[in-house]
Amino acid sequence: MKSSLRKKRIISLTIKYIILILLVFFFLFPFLWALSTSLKTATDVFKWPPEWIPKPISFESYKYVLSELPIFKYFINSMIITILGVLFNVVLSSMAAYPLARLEFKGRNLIFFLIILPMMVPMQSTLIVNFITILHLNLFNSYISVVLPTAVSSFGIFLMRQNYLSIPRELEDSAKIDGCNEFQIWSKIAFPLVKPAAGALAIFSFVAYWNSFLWPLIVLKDPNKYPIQVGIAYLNNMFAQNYRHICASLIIAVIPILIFFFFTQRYFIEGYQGALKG
Amino acid sequence: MKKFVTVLFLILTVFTISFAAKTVTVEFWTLSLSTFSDYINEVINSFEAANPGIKIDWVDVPMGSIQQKLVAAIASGKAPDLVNLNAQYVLDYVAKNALQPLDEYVTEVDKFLYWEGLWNGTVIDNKAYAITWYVGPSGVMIYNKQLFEKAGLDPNKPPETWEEAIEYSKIIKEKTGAYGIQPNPGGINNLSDEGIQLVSPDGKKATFNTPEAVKKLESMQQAFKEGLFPPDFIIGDWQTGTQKYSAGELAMFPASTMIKHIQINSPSIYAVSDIAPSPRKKSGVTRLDPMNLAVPYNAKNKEEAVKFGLWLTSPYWQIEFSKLATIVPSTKVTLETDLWFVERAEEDLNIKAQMMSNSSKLMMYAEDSTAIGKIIGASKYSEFKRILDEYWQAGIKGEYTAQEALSLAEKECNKLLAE
Amino acid sequence: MKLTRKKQQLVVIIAFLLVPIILLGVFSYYPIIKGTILSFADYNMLTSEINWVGLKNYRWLFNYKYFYVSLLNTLKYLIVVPFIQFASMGLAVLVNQQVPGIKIFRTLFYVPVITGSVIVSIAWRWIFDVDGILNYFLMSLHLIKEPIMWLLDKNMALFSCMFVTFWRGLGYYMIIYLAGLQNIPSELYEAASLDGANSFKKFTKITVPLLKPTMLLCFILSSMSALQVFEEILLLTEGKSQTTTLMFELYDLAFNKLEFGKSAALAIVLSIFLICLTFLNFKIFGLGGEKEK
Repeated sequence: MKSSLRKKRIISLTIKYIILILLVFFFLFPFLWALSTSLKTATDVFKWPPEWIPKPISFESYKYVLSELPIFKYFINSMIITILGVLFNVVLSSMAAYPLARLEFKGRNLIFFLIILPMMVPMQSTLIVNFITILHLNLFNSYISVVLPTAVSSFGIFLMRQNYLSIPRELEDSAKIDGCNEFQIWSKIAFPLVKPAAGALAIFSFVAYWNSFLWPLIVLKDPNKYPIQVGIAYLNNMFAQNYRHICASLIIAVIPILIFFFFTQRYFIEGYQGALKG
Repeated sequence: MKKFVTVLFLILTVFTISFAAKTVTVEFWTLSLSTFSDYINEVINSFEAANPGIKIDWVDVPMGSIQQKLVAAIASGKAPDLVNLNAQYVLDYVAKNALQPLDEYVTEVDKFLYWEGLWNGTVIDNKAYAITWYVGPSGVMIYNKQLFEKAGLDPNKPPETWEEAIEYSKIIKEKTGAYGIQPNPGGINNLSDEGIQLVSPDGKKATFNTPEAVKKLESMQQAFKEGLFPPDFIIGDWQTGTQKYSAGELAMFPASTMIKHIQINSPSIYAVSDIAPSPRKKSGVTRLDPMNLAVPYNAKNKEEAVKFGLWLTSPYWQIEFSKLATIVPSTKVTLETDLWFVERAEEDLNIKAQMMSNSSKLMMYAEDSTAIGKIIGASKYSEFKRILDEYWQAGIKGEYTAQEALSLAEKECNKLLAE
Repeated sequence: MKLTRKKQQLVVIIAFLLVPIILLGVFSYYPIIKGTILSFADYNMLTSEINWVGLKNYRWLFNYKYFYVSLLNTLKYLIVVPFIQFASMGLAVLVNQQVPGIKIFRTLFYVPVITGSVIVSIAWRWIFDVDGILNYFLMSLHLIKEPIMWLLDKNMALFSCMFVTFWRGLGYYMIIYLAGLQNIPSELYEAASLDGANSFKKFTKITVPLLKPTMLLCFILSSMSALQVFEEILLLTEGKSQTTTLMFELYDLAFNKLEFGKSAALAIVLSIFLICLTFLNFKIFGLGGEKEK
């Protein structure tokens, strides 16, 4: 009796793993191609049938990229920009969303709608107009100029608002009875409860800023300040498009995101929960 | 004593100020040339040494982002002084009055150094708007000798006309299964190759719907159906060609700068390849698409920018550049004058291609690729191109008959030109 | 001196909303309003020349062949939304298992979301190539007799792009739904098992209804995303094979043709669609925050 149940479990577990592994191939196909290409020596990159496991495996492309490009510098720049961006997004969204969800005032819903409206108007000239604004503010070629136009995230406010909505009123009421002022209600009760959502937002912001390319390219002049995606874009040019190098650089650029994601998954899975109780 | 020191101090100050005031910084943008930073820096250093008081500030911009970055810069008054653009972009910016005419800064002597066909590519309404720089090698193709041999064709006798190329392709397809040749996917190029006029001289009517045009489209339709071209060339253009050729699946490829890609990414295919002139065109004219250097209308240091531009595009420096990149100079001094190239032409396919396309005959009769753009205006040109390409490519795919495709394209183009 | 609660709330409201509103005003609203006004002009962004032409840009737009082609394609693209959403839900259920190493699988499933455009373009064009791996598999499994022109055939090309959007979006929404699933008490499933319900019944009677709030968020994001699709078109077909979409035209008008007035007009038209769609979603799923009195 027990052994047949056990057999059932093993079979179902095996099936699950098979499906999961097949899915991994489905999702990672292009990535695996890039990985395999980055490990090839000077052999034909577009051979058919494709050689998935390079013989021999060589790290020369990685060595090339790491020595030709100031990857370390780019990493530091990306870290500065990303940390600044994430801080702005999380702090401003956490604060702005609170009154929109928990406090009553005239025009509350209108303001909320106006805050998410920009997500629906894809005006191409925004890029240029914001560049001119940055120039007027004398912030050209600074790290902060990379982050300032997107410091307020409409999506972030939306997300945080949904999360704040699910806080039980009773907690606030008892805090009031305990003598907390309005600010303390937020700092001691509301915000701690939505910390997971803030974590979730942090991850989305991290990915967005880490991968940003066009805006930093426009607003930064000094190549020493280039973040990683701008830096490695130069490998992809008309004259010497070496796919092995390009793939190696892209893999290098993506590793930090994966590490960040893996370790912080826990937070933002919980984070979305709060948003949904509303 | 005190008076003396004060006077000396004042004199020195005036000197320094006037000297400092004379240092002009020219901001110079290139398109995706960061691999050649040693070369560019060498040019810059030599220029600065010869021109004390002018400093060059070099910024390299990835090709795909130049539009956004340049528009932002010009729109905000922070334009570069000298910017590297292809001919199409020059046309577009001139149409918006965003570029400075250069005639007052360039003398006839200066102009004489460049091939007229190339220089005139950016002369619009009789005003010169750019200095021509380098060109990719044109009129040459790379072909796979091994595939030729396998198909029973003589690898030392590649086809000379388009018809021959199609014949060869059929044999290659049959005997080896590989694609024969990759044509250009654009309607404008294919029609011009046949010597067909695209628009009337006043630019008001589309004139490409001729029996010759129908014939050409039909032959391409047929070849496509028979699998002589790699089908994705319609979308992928040179990338498809490069990949297919690199995989040994394409026998003939009119490549230019791509030869280097093939060398880097597929050494074994490169080893069995050779260079030959592209199948001759009926029109006899080679179309060239040079890079140029232009000056935005609101640049701050125009004269110095042009000075540097002329320096950078001088025969000497362009020949030096040709040693590093698979390009051909826009100046009349051809590569044959430098033994360096002659010595290497047989072993290095890149150099062979450069030499082949740099012959005086070819360059003298070269035509710029944007000729019709100047007749009908830049904004109509891109629409025209889009319409024609769409129907041409639909025709190749067999979505319409050749006559239908050309007639529909003609109708819409006429509507466009009448606006 | 202590402020009254009402006054305290006012302070919080202003303090918390002030900076975000100012920043939003400067970097989002200012460009949008400027763009909207300039949609009524023949605007030369490069020289700042303005030539007021009233509704000419809009009239031109409604006469522009590619407006209609791209509009149709953009609306067609909404088809991908239910597919992504239900597949992500299924995927979330799958990775909700407490199987050892599931965290690694979740991370790996997220990779398409962050795979750079260069790789997406090279790899998918290669897969969709007429001689490519997809045709190879399908033909060796005898599912098709002749190779399909995934990116060339005007009837297939848009769907090929949609598939890549689907592939790229799954991981993103999967994580959102996964969180929603954590919310559902396992007791409900246990009770249902005792009542004899099978997996399918559990999914449709428990999971889906309780995921409704997540579905609101995701459907809105997904539809806005579908209506603004641009990258996949650019990376796979560059707008050829009749795959152009409204965003693609928008970008082309602005940065290839340098026609910012026309681009702005199109942006306004597109945003009307987006705003209507958002209102619709809110009407269906509810705005939230009105009850609890």
